[in-house]
Amino acid sequence: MKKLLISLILFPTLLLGQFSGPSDSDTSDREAGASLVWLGTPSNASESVSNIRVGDTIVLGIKITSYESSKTSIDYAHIDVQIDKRLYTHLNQTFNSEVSGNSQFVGPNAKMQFNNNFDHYDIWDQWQNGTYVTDSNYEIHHFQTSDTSVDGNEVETLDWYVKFQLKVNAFDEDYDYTDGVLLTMGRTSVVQSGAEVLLDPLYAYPNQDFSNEPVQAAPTFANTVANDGQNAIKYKSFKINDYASNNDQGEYGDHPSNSAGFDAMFDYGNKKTTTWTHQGRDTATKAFTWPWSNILPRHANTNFGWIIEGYFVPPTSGTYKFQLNSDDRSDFWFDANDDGTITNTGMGMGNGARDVDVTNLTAGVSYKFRVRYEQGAGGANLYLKWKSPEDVAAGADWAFNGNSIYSIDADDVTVTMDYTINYNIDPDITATDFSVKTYYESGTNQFTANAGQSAVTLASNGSADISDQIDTDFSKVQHVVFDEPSSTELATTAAEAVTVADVYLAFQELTDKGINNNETGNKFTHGIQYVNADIDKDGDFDFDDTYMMLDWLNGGTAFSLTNLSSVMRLIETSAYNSVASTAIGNYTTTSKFPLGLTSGTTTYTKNITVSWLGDVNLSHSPTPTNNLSVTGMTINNAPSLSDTRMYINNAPSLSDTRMYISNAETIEFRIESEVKDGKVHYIVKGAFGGTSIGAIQLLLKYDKNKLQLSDNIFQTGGVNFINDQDGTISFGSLKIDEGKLNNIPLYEFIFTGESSEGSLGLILIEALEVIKIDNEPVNILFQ
Amino acid sequence: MKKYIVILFLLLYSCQKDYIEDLYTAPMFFDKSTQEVVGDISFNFALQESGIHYLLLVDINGKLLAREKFTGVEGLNTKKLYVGLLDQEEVYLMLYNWNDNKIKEVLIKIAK
Repeated sequence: MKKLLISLILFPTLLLGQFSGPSDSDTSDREAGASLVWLGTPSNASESVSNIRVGDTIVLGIKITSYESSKTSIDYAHIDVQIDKRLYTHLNQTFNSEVSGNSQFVGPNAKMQFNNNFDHYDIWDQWQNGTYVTDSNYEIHHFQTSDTSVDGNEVETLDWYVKFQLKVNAFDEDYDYTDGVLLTMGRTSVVQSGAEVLLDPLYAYPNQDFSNEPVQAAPTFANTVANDGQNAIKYKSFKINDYASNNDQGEYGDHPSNSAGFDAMFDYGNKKTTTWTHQGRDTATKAFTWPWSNILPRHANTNFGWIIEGYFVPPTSGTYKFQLNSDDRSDFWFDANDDGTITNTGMGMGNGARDVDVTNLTAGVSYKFRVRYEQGAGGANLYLKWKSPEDVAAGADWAFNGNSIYSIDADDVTVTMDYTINYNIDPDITATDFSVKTYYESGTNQFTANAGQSAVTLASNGSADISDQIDTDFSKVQHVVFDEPSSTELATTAAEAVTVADVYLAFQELTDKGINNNETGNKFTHGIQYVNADIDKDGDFDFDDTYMMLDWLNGGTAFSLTNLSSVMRLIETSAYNSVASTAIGNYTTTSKFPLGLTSGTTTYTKNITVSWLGDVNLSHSPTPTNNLSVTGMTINNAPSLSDTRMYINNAPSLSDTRMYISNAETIEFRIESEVKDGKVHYIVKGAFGGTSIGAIQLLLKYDKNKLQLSDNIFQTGGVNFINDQDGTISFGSLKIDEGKLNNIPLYEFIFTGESSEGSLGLILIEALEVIKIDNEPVNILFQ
Repeated sequence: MKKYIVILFLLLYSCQKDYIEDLYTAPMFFDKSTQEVVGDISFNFALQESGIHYLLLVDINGKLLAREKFTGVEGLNTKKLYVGLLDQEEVYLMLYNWNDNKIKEVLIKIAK
């Protein structure tokens, strides 16, 4: 039964290659045994088991015990140590100085074979007849004392007979430190009366699992930077001098004074006061340029350290001067030969700025480097800067450029672009109606769409992420281009943006001295207004432009609407805000904008303002932050652009037919149709009272399938215009010189067509715009 | 007796109002507070006096959409409402007399 039980216990061990140890009662006569003892790390015997991680080196010892009181003084033993190479790498072993031992490496790829015909408790027979089978997951080391007459130096009195160092290879929460190490005790003897007496040893021993504590997992890798690549580094963050967790034992009496000091400080595997708290990837900018409020992760603001690694890719060849400036201390390692081995540059260890020359660097080659840094208490900072050969020649100052640093070899980096355009579009223009694509210059005035892209629709705030549309071949000159709207959509947008208020304001500016390149009128308040008023695009603003505007109101074609680029204007927002009145010719209309890609730069944000040709009063273009008084011209009696918009509030009730425009006067128009002599007469008659009106624009919609406009009669006292397009008549009048329109203007339209039972519903009127002579809008009430 | 009965019958019959087709009994557009229309529609309405009248189209927010002036006749009048240009699903049709006094009003629901 005993044999059977032992067999059952050993079976899974043999099968799985693991060993958990039988209990006392299940073993042999237990006259002697060997057990593992925890001896910490090579440099710290007190190192906590819980502080060990993958990559660390641990030290285990073998203690020999006599369980037979009459047979003490064991001075001879054979012990096999079987190591699971998946968990540990055997580094070396050391015999206790009080014994004379020797060792034998049984084989790098062998495992003990116990399933022979010998009883398991008869370990001596096992030892003598056991075999070693090939298994690449294991290796076996055989230890033995060679002195069989060590009176007074009995091995069982030693804390450890032999100790060996193992490097932790893998983490598995199902394993502890003793898993993967199997002790097998072979021959054991004592000397009694001058003769050797063999003991019946335990082939193993109880309680071999002394910790039951799994190897700790590495700290979670925190990706602050999305991907490895440019302007990225990898780091490990340490807690150092962690006295409180170790009974206030001081380990570092001072800051590291040399490289070895740093080695010791960051030897977290062997230091009881150093732990590894963070690891991750972040920007090089964050790692090497502070402020303190935005530095790499650390467990606290004192007693921390970092190992930061990356690759430096010089843009030009030659000698580079590197400067490390830190508080507290740091050192700098560099693989200047690009042979895979980084070496200490020896720039010094003190606080403050130190520099070193790294010679013979080749442009475009990735050179690995490492910075180690530690902070005790008090002030803290870390800066890495450099000078290229060209910088040195030019006398340039030290500088940091994240574009030259990569977290992995630059050759392995896939360039990813981050390009966002923020189109500053007036709220009266619906941004989501527009979309963009990217093109590259394929010849003189030739543009070809980048391959594999789809149009990006602008967000409601005007932004567009075109990162996926950009070709990373920076040799191509690329542009972002608005998709062309339909001709109807384009005409609608233009009709909304350019109204009689724009034309009236333009005439006023000319009348008020702003004529023929003079641009000294007092009606425009921003330079972009002159640009938008240059309808004929000849580089100045004059009567040619205003009469083209009149032509536009009358449905003429002088104001070209051939495509979006004929009316859209794209100006970088910073420039848009400071357009000078004398710079009319500097800003053409366009629907494309150059991306300005630069080799080595992958993150872009462009702010572009969208304005419209003819939008003189900026009712559909953003108002620049700087006015003409800032950009070089005195402004007197200028209208307030903020009042040129028509804000409609408060939907009226049935009893009140007024449409209210906030903070504006109200004028009335009486509308009336009547069938006379087989024709429909439609009359719009104003009643302005004491309000001085400078310009009017209204819309008349009629059923073009039933009516035809045959005549119109306008009596207004101003220049009249009418534009009959596809059943919609834009009409009105404006003063192009001093004065105001008649107080009771009359607009009469005569239609032919169906009229036998009246015309109710065949003609509808809509208000568009009425401007006082001071360019202020007014309410329009149809009665 | 039979004579009296005949006389009584004649008296009763002669006292009834003469039958003349009453225009006001024809379907009048303004008789209902709401009318539903599908497409353009001709509609009848009666005027108590001849002269200048106005038909107004007003949206439900009170915005005047159209005013038509016409010379109405006493009794039955017929006009036409065109709905093709109207964006609204509901409009008021109002009848005003010569001195801008509203006579009738109906809410028109337009099937789109």
